[in-house]
Amino acid sequence: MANLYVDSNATGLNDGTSWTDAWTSIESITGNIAAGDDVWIASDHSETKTAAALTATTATSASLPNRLLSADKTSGTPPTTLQAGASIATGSAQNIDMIHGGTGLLYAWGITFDAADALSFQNFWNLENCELIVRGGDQLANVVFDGAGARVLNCTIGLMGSQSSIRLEPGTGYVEIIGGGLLTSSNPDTIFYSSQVGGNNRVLVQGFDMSNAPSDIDMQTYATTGGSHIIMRNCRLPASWTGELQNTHDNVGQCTVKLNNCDNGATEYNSLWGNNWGLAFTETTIVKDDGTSNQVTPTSVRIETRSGSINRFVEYVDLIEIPYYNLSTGSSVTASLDFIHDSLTALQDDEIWLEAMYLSASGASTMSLATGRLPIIGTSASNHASSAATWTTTGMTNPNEQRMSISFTPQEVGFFFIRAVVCKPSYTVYIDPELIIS
Amino acid sequence: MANIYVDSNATGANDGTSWTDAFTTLAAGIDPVVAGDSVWVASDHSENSASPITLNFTGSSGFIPVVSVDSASGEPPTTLQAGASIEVTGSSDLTLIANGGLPRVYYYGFTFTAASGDINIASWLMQDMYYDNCTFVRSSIGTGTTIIDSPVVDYDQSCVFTNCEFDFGASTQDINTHCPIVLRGCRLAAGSAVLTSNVFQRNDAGGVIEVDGFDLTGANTAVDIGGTGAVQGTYGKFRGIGVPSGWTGTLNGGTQQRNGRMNMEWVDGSGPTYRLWDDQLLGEVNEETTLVKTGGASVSWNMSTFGGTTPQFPFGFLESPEIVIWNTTTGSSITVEIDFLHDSVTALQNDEIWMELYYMGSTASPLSSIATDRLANVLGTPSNHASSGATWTTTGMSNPNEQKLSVTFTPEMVGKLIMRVHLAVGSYTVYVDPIPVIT
Repeated sequence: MANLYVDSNATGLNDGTSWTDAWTSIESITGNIAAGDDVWIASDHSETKTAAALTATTATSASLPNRLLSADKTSGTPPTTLQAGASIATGSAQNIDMIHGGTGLLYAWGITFDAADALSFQNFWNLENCELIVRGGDQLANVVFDGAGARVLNCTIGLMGSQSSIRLEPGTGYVEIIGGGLLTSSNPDTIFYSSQVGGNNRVLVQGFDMSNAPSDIDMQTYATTGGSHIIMRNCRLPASWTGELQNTHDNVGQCTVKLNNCDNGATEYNSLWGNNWGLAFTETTIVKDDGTSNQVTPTSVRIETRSGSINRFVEYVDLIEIPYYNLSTGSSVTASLDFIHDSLTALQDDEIWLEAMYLSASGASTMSLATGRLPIIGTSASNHASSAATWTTTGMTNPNEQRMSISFTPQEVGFFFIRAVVCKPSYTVYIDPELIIS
Repeated sequence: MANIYVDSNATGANDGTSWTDAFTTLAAGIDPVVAGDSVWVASDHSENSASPITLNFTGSSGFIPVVSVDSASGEPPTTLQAGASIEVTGSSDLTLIANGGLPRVYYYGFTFTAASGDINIASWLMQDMYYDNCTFVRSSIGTGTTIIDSPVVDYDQSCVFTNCEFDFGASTQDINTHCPIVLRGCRLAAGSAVLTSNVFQRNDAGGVIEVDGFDLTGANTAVDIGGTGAVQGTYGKFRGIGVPSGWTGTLNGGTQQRNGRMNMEWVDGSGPTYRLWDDQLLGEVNEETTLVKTGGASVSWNMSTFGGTTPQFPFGFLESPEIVIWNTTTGSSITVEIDFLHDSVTALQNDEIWMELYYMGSTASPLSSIATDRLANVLGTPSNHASSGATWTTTGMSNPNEQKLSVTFTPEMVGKLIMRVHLAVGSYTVYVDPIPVIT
């Protein structure tokens, strides 16, 4: 439970016991820090290592954390005032590797980590009010979260190289980025990179300001081995954003990116979701009369599938799930959704369909899957029914209103969940997400 | 675009070109496969080997169906019929793998059986594997513990199981995952051993399990959903699980690791009473039906921290599910309060429990801002949260203490307010009313 001190301006014994005798580099904590220790770093501390990578390792335990805190050294020993500004940097293309040693919890506040190449945080860091900067020009010059995720609160992230990104290593697990934004002059071509043999992590980004990024920035890039599931809510995008949710579409993996109410300007509520096979947008022009509204504007969901080979068994867009609280038991329920598309040719049940997860057992909470997907053999594809619903059809040549349905028998009162699935390549369909129950 | 036939009863040329000349093993049938081909397997196909069987898709990219069918329905067949059987005996493993290329393999209607060996489902480079209406059987109690194992540590592979059945040979076996798996509408087989330990075991950081509908009613009442193999960063999400009547097991049998999380909804043994269970490193959140706020939600959230890893302000906390409400007030200040109850005369302070709320605080964009009533920083002086005038059912409490969290802010755009409660007191329980009061 010791107080340890780091100050590049210290001229005493440099044993970390006081401001006067502070270590002059954060690296000195390695091997000297114990679980429960606090590391006070002077807010005017500034170190830049160029000879080799800068590495610092902590030592937490389940009951005793470590805290790395930038503080006003004039406020006492130990200090009584936090003050952001301590700077830990490398030059000459060297990395910074911050390693969470131990099994407990770790927290850093108010520190600028400025790496000439990559900056890694390993084994679950909690970072608040910090600056995380990478300046390298190659593909490895990333802010890396590795080991067990991270929580990043109100931090500024500088991705200064065009190939820099926030890199998610395999098994990172869960990462939260809450508040903060990109540093001015950040120049990445993608925000997140799920590394080779990596991915399948879960990421929540809430309120992150990316308006400093290039207008064509992509949200995720991943190696040929798959990406992560990323949700970005209420983030500010660059002006006139033209980037993609995912700039790799090699038809592998289960990765998704969902932008929920993200924009540059003061637009109304909207969403943009994507997986490997297509995108789903909030649509405000082509909408069903008396259909869904976001309480501001009538809306539908516009789904655009990608080109190329997609297959209804393994490759599809299934980005919409609609919950419904059902009171009917023991008799068949039919759930339907209206949709519209621009073709005289009706869509069939091998191109778009509904799936339901419903309470299927009396006296238990077991849910079963019902699917309207055409089987692989044995049954010919059939058209979905026409719908009498009226839609705004601005810009359409051959508006075709249809309805897809699925029937099942709930055995208990409670929610069922309906998913719409689309797998016709290079196609656009508009779905009113308000369930019709009969 | 070839049709390839597999039937253990075939006596012809065994070149896979017809039912008569079908390959007699599935391994032979998939050896020449390229994307666009279809592999049709007779539903009465049955192969049995004392040596390990490896079904490996190599060098092919794209969709490859491997389907159990009624061989009497023609060439190519027109009728699905589950039943094709692949079995290894003794301690041999049955390995289903995709190693090379980017195949997307879809198995339909197979029964895969191992005795005391494992059924390994593995791949090298993110070749997803889909199993539809398949049955996985461990026929012997053996010494192994798993019905599915992925010995190649590869976080990328993703396995999707729909309407599949799992038939265990011993009560301590489980589904052991090293990789992301998704199960939808699956179940224990009727004749399965009664699982007594755990159903899933998670290995390797980042392993993700998503289970949507799973009938576990045949398991022991004390079975745990998650196993002891959890490591840091793992994530599990369960919905619509039919647990045994009178279930007393846990969501996570082992100690939850750093940043690990298991979440369960709609799980109950006595009917589908909505039930929330969120298991985290520092504690768990359960639904509470007795200690509830009068006039609030019909339930509250029981947030209880464990005695293991010690909570730390402001970075080690138990987190509630999100509360989301739609706000239409803009340009003027609003206050959001969340009532909570605990059993102590000592009030909880703002370094022990706090709210973190996201709102749209700018007219320029939907970028969200953070409003919080937590202590400003680790050097601040904590203060008590305000008392609440709310009335709660306090059955069993000695010193019920009603308090509230409160933040005031000015939304500038219509939209969602998203809030979470963070609890950073060790070995403590609070009850949170999930309906905020807005003024």
